[in-house]
Amino acid sequence: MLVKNKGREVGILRTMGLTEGSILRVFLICGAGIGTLGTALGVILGCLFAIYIDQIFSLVNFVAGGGVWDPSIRGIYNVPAELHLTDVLKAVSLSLGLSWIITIFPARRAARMNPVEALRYE
Amino acid sequence: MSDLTLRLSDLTKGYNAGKPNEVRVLQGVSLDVAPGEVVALVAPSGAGKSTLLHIAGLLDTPDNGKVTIEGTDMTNLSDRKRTAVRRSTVGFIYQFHHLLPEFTALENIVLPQLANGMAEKAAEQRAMTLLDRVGIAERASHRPAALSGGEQQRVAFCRSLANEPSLLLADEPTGNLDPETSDRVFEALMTLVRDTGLAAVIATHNLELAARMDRQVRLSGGVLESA
Repeated sequence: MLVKNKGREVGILRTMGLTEGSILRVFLICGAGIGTLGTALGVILGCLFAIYIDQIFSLVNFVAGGGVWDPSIRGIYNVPAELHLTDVLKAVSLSLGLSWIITIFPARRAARMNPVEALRYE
Repeated sequence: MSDLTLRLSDLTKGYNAGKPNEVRVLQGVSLDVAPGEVVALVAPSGAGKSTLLHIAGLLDTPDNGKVTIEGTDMTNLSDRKRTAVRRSTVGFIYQFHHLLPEFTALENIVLPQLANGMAEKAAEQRAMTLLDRVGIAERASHRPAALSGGEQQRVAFCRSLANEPSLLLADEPTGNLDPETSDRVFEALMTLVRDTGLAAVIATHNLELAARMDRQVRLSGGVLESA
């Protein structure tokens, strides 16, 4: 989406004389930055959710007027939420790895964009 | 080294070759531009002047023919080398300013200099000098959206000259402005061009502006002729 929206800017930068490599780096850094930020926020929110699962459960029950989770129906009397460092690290690795790898493809597309076309159809 | 800044030799360019909708835009265009010479490129819309400027500025390649800048044949250079020449030797101005909206006027002029390896302080100093020369130094910290059309185009002029190019290519640089602003902005451009002594090819519809340049050429039917 970023590459699609920034076609005109890519055309301008290429006209100015920025190399394909420079454009690639700009989009890689941007994409990886967004991925890293998203992962950091995800880890913080996920950990808070796991730590305070009982309080969150009670809050939802209170807001919904009770009966959100009826153990007699499901046969599950508590929701297990244990925080393990290895699980967090696995999730972080997966999230960072995917977000960084996926960034490469649109970044390459941006770098190879024809500047004339990029400016013509802005 | 050649005496010419730009030599275009027998350029041809077409689109959709071999198809029913084939268009032959350039059909043997040749043009010599000497250092310090300002050439007006006059042509109606759709005649191919943007294509010609893009080829001259190494943004596009011809089907046949040769582009020589400062004595060096650019035809078979790699994209990386063409980009390097564009960065250091060629300045571009479009009809629409094409400034980066998130950056201030100053930053827009600093950016190409940083890309060319200049130190930030020196780049800022040069940017301020250029802005001062076109009379809008006090607008340096404004973003393009906060500038008038004439001011935006002046910033674009400064950006095109930021790396002290020897060749300036302008595609209807005042075509988007009202007649009065167009006249003032054109005068600012000509002053900059004359002061720096670079070679320039300026495409325009305006015959009055064209008459103020050193020489006029007309692009018609895919070929260039003296106007």
